[in-house]
Amino acid sequence: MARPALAPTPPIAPKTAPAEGDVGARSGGDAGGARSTLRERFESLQERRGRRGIPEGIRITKVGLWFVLLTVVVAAAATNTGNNALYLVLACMLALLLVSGVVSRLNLQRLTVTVDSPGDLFARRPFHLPFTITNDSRRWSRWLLLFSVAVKGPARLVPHLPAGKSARGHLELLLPKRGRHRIEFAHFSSLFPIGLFRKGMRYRLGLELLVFPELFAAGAIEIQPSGLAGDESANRAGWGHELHALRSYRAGDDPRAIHWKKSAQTGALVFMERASEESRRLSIVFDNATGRLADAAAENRFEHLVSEAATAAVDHLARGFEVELISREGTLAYGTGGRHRQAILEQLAVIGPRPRQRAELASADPATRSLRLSFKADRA
Amino acid sequence: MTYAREKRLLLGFAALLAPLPLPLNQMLEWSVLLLYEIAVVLFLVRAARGADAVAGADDSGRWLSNRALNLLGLGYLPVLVLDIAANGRIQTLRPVLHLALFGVLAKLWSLREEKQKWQTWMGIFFLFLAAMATSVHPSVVLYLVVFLGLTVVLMLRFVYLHVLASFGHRDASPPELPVRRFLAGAILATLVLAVPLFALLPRIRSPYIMAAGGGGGQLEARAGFSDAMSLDLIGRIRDNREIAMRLNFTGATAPPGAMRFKAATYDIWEGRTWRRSERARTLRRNPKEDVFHLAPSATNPRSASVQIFLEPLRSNSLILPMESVSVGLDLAAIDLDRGGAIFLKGMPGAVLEYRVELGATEISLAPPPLAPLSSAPPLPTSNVPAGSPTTSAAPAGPAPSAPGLPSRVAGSLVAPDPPVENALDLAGVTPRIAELAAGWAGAGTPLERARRIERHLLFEYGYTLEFIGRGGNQPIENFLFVAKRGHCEYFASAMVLLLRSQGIPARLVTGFYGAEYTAWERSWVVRQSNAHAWVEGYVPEKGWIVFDPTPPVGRPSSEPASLLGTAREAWEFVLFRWDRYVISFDFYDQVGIFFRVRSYLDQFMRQLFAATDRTPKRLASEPAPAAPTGTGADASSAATGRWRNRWLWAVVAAFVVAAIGAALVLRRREPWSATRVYVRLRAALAGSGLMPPAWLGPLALAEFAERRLPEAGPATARLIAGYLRESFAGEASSADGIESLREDLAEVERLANRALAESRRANRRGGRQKRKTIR
Repeated sequence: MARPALAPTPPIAPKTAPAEGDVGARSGGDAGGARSTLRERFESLQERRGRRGIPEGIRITKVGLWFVLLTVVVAAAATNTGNNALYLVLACMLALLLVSGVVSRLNLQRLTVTVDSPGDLFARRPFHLPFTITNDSRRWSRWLLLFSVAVKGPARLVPHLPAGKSARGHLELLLPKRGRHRIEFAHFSSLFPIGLFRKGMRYRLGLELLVFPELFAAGAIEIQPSGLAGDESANRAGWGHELHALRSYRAGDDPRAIHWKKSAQTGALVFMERASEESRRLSIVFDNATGRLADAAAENRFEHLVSEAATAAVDHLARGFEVELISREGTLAYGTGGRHRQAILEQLAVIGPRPRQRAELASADPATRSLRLSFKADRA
Repeated sequence: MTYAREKRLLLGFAALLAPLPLPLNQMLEWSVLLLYEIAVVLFLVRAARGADAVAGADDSGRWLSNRALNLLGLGYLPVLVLDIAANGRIQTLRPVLHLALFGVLAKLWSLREEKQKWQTWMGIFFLFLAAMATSVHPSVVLYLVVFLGLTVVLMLRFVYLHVLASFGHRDASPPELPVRRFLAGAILATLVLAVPLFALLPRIRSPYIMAAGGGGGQLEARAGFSDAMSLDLIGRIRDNREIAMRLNFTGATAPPGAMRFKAATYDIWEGRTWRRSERARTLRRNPKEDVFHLAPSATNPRSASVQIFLEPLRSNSLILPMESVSVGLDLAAIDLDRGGAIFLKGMPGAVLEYRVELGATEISLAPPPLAPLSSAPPLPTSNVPAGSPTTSAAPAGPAPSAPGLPSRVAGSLVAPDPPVENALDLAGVTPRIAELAAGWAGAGTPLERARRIERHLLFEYGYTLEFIGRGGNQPIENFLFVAKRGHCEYFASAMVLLLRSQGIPARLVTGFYGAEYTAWERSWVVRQSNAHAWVEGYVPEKGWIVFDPTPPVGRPSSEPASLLGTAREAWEFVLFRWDRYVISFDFYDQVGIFFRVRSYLDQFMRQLFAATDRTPKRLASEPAPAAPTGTGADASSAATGRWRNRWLWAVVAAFVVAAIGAALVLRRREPWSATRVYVRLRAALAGSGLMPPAWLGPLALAEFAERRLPEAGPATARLIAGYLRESFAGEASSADGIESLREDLAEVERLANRALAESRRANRRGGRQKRKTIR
């Protein structure tokens, strides 16, 4: 059974729940109820089929091709000469083909895949997807399993998986785009036993991954400084009015900030550091009312803006700032900490272009630092 | 061990094994094989020691440079040309095999890329094919199995190493891959599957057998039955226990242990050997019955039949029981010699199968002699120097008592004017022999005189298998007057001459005497050691009749039971089936299998439907079984039939139950989990008529069940809680937990079924009430 450990998909609830009477009416056995039962059975069948594995086709290898060609040659020789010893060889070759095909199929059956949480995922940043594969067969081992979550994606080799045992490992993946990614199936393939065929089997995984936007280097983003000083001092050195700390004078310090009284008392020059009164808030204003994105270049620009917003948010939150995110989706008020970071990144992960609007987006606090990200501005 | 080294070793072992049967099949000289094997062993030693032990050698690189390979090729070229010139006209395969051996060796010693390893494998496979195609011995199955196993191991290891290499593992020792059990199972499955495939593969041409020696080698002559007839031949054959014929009798017949099988007749004595009788006539096959009628059935009514499998002998005789009336053989015509023996155009190369209808008594197919007989014995007047055909003296004159009878000189190769009755040829009859014959025969009818001669030989002479070819030019005289012992050919030859000296036409007949039953074969077999010689003499009262002057102790008999004998029988059983069902398996055998299977099916269906009246339409036209007469035997038979039918039904029922059980077991193989229990819960609720909507989530489903089926509410709640824990909290249920959930599920299913039944009852009550109201 492939059971998602991350982002399980709960049963989808209807937008409007039917009245109790409706349910009662259905229980009487009307057509809707019959359809429901059929659908349910079909879903159950699909689920079982997914758990058992769905064959993913068969591909003959180069060795297999040569083997088949040799079989054809032996068949021609046997038929042409009537030599029964050649027929014996031919029968063995055909039997080996059949056994190889059946074994390669059985080798991929009765497997269970469990995937653990991979943590925060960012676009274009490699991550590890931990998995556990269990051989549910009570008798037969599994050999030379290649596990992947995409048909042509990176694979991990499990050389031998004894009956009833599990193997742990991780896949190194990279997702190029932000947003919701659904990994529907776990794919297994194998060349076992003698490499004539590469058979594939997929198991339903139903894994949903939320990929955050790509992060850039923080210094590459230009933040608009705050227009006015804040009324609250920040807990760091700056050029405000309030005293931040006293320390020894170092060469290069401004002599005007020497605390002469303390210097006289201590006999050494004491420097008076003042607290910064610059605001420790960042308002990210992302105007996603861009209209339909015309081409790939426009899409890339949009993605770039999303990444800039994410980078700024992550960077400033890491530096202790309170960050606000304003977009056409709504406003995430100022906040700090991991949960706020998660909320901003989740919103940016799924944010998309909206229809154009005339009204400008504005921060609730115009005095704070702000990052205005607009498609028009960017284009300009 | 590096990957490259392991691959080299595997290829080396395959190369070592592949050509081994070729010298046994006489397709290759042992010396050539020895040279090849030495080269392969050197390769294996070098591969096993690896690069570390061999200074300057690269384990992964090639061991022979291009220049060395070119030089080797140039060196081999004249050898190849000579080989083709010497052997090519005789046998094309031999030079090709030499070339293949050289190619495999050159490839082995110059392996570098993966592709070259597969090319080497192709060369090895060609050698294997050649060895298989030229083998006829059953032991080739062992070779096939070993090679198959080696192939599977080699390909499996190649794949494993290839996959490891593609994941970056190159030179480290590969992890152990425990596949022994799998390999044994896969090879066994392949062989089991190959048997029906072999039987079903289409046969277009008749089986071709490349016998041993097809490559031009020398075959050792083995002592066995042949058309050549010398005095000491059968004595040598007596030690040969090989099977010459297999017989499957149908119907009442004479005891096969005392049956005579006639092969050939001989009527001209050439000193030490006999010359075979000439062809007398040709028989055409009866197109209506597809048989050759040998004798009119009125004279010898048919009583039995026998199916004969004649092994290839060095003889073109069609060996038949003396009682034969007709023979069914897939030929247009057959020839009969003057003695009534049948011969074919050529020697059969494989087992010849034919069916013979048997009469009640032995008959000879020979025509009557050409000249009238006299009751008085002829006296030879000259001493014929037998044994020196080219220097024979003047021909013996006609016997005084039979002036009209022709005669001929012993060994004369010039045919006298026809018609000549060779059965009265007096070559080899010396005055002493004639005198002895006259003394033994006395007076009376030809039959009485012949019987007296036979009795004298039977009771006054001894039997021995020792070589008694002494006697110079007069071996029969030596036998009669000096040695007084010998084996059947001496007795028969002597009697022929003795009878002829008395004017009684006689011939020597060879064939087999007696058959023995083997439990392994479940049939009668005639061995080479059953070869025998006897006499056919013509007496006017009865025509051609058999005289067997060999003492009973010297007649062929079956071997006493022993362990060795049983082992031999078992081996013969295998050998015959190998020859019959593998080497000479053909299209007609396939048709036979098809009809046999159809017959079994028909029989099965007939028995299956016999107990009931539901006879299939196909069988409806068949005559109805006779009505029971009410006797005890009939009643018992009917009861047995009923029981048999019941047993058949029981077998069918057991099969169905087993199939259902297997399906259930297969279903049960899916491990139980809370999710599976949840799915079953939904199905149970849907099946009970409550019909929870598909969109209903688990918690909503619990509420739904609580409302609609209150007594099942607690169990449903526990089930759903378990499902939620497993699916959304990642808590796997323990075995006990699963067991508890399954009990809850059973409870819910029971309650749901009860609710369904009550609902149906209520519906029925409601329907009745409604109908009453309407009325």
